Amino acid sequence: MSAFFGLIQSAIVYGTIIMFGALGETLTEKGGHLNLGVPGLVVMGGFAGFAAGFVYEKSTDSPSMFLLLLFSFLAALVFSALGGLIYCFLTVTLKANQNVTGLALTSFGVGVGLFGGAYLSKLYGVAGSAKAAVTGTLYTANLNSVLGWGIPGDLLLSYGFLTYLAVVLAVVMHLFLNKTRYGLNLKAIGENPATADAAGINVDKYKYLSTCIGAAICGLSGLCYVFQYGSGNWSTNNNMQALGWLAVALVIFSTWKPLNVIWGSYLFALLYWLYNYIGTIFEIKLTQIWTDILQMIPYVVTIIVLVVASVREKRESQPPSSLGLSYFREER
Amino acid sequence: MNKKTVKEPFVRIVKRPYADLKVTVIANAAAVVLALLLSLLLLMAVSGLGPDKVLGAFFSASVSTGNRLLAFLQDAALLLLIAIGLAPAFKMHFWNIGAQGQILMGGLMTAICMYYIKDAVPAAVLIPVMLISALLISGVWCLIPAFFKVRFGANETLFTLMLNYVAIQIVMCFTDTWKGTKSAFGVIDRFTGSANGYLGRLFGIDIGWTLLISMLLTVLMFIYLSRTKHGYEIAVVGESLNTARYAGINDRKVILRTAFISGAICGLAGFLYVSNVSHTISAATGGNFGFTAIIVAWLGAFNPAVMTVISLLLTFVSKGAGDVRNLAGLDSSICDVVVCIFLFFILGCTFFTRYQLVFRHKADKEGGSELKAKEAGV
Repeated sequence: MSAFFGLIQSAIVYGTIIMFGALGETLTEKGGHLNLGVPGLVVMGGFAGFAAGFVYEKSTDSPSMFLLLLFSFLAALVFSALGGLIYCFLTVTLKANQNVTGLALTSFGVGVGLFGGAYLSKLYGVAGSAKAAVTGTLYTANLNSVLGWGIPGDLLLSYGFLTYLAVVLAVVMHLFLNKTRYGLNLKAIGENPATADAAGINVDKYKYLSTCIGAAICGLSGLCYVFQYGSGNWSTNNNMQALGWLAVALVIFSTWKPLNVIWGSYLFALLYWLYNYIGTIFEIKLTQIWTDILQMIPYVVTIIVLVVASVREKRESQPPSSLGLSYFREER
Repeated sequence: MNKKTVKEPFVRIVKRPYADLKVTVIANAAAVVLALLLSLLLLMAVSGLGPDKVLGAFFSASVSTGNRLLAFLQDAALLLLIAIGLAPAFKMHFWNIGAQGQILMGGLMTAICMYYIKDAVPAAVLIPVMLISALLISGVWCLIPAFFKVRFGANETLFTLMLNYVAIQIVMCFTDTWKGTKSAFGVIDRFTGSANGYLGRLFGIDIGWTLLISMLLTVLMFIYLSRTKHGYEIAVVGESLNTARYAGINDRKVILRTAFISGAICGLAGFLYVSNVSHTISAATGGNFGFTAIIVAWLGAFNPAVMTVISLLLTFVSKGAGDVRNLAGLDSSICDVVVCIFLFFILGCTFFTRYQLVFRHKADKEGGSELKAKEAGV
């Protein structure tokens, strides 16, 4: 049973990382922009948050907790938003192809993040990977260690604040997209920018804002990976990148609805970690091949959802109509 | 009559009716020069080396010795080959971003043949079997999303992307089995002690076959896209699906056929990786090339000649940055950053080749009378 609870806990911690990425991408895609730069933005955000925490910790003996939180949080938001701004300038203003720009942003962001992390280690003479331990404790601090509610506490309260922030953000985004004028305007742009333009909506302004804010939210995903999952360790493996792609997949899985993103991300993370727990839960010994096959599941499930959604042709579960297309006012 | 006159915007964007060669060349040259300046400044900043050392390392990395030239040509040839494979699919507006998966599947099939049957059959049989099975499996790997696109309208961009990860896991299934308890799956040769299945040297160069096949495919693709009926059909389907249907082109057949060809050429790259270049397979085979090639194909506007220039440029830049980082002992990811700076600039400059900026005073001089006539009409 404890293995099962372990699986749930891992899924919620990992799911939060995917959730931020998927929420950011949902906002971007609602404005009609398919940003394939999510993995890059995730790494950029994670790196910036880490760098801010690490440098501040190194610069003073008794870092202020409030400043640590503020610096790392803002750095992740701002740095990723800058990445989003590059994408936006190229695709909205210069009308470059969105897929190509997004892919370039992915390799740019991953490159910047990995290089920056290694550079920091070198600069401060840290052997191996650098660690911002104090900031890590901030992001992993939870209520359960104070209250000690046993198993319900383990399952519900043992996570850092980002986990709850992600859920709140999903609900807020749902309300924003469906209940506010700005949200409806944004969706109108994603469906048909020319009509929205004719209705007097400033298309470019909305696109810039939705893409940059979406990118900033993706940055929180990296922040969550580095501090909540990694407790402040900077890791240079490809995990963050793979999670970014899972976030892109989850947007399709959720059929562009923020509320679906909540359970979808936990489900994806559960499927992702299944290989680690399934042996203990069912008391069987898994060979390496089965681990490899089990790790394939999230991607296969996404493909199935993609196909099923297009077979059903339900209007509510289709992507925004103008997704991936640049808007040029004078084009007919 | 309304007396309030609306002031004309300071600058207007007008789509160019056709590409202006002079503008295209100037815009691209300017983009490359700007990107080069920015990259060199970045390299100087992070390496702490003087301009003379950075410039020297950057420009000599690809050409200073024979081996370096070969390494440069090998990367450029593989990048180009993958881009050549993607070009027909993109021209048809089929977003095959699954090159990485197709390379892996082709490479895996080659490795499977080498691993299981290389001692059972002579090289004259083995190599064609390896080649054909690699082409088939990669073609089918790209055909699956194409089928779901034409049959159900499933989005191929995300489908092909997801298949990359499925392919990675499949490759890991095999390599994990083969490596057993070792830390990594080594060169396939090492396991049986025979080099059967490797493409030998050509023109006295280890990677001769890779260079030859890449050049051959570039020429063939140029002919295929611009001089054959198939190429014409691809262009029409890409421009407008309805026009294609009206003209009696079987669009579903064209999409399926082109997707198969696209996947198969990526599979050919995978075949070359395993049988000629790296002599092994892992989930990292092909590296970032599957994604970079997408950008090469797009920037080259599906013209194999332009794509050749871009692959050479990007590889040159990447090698140059690699040498600077070796000199300063930095992380290898700086190469990706520098390549991306070039990509961003070249991507941005396509705007100036596709659109024209018309400033207010210029509009008054040239198109002013025309505009006024229009306003009077309204």
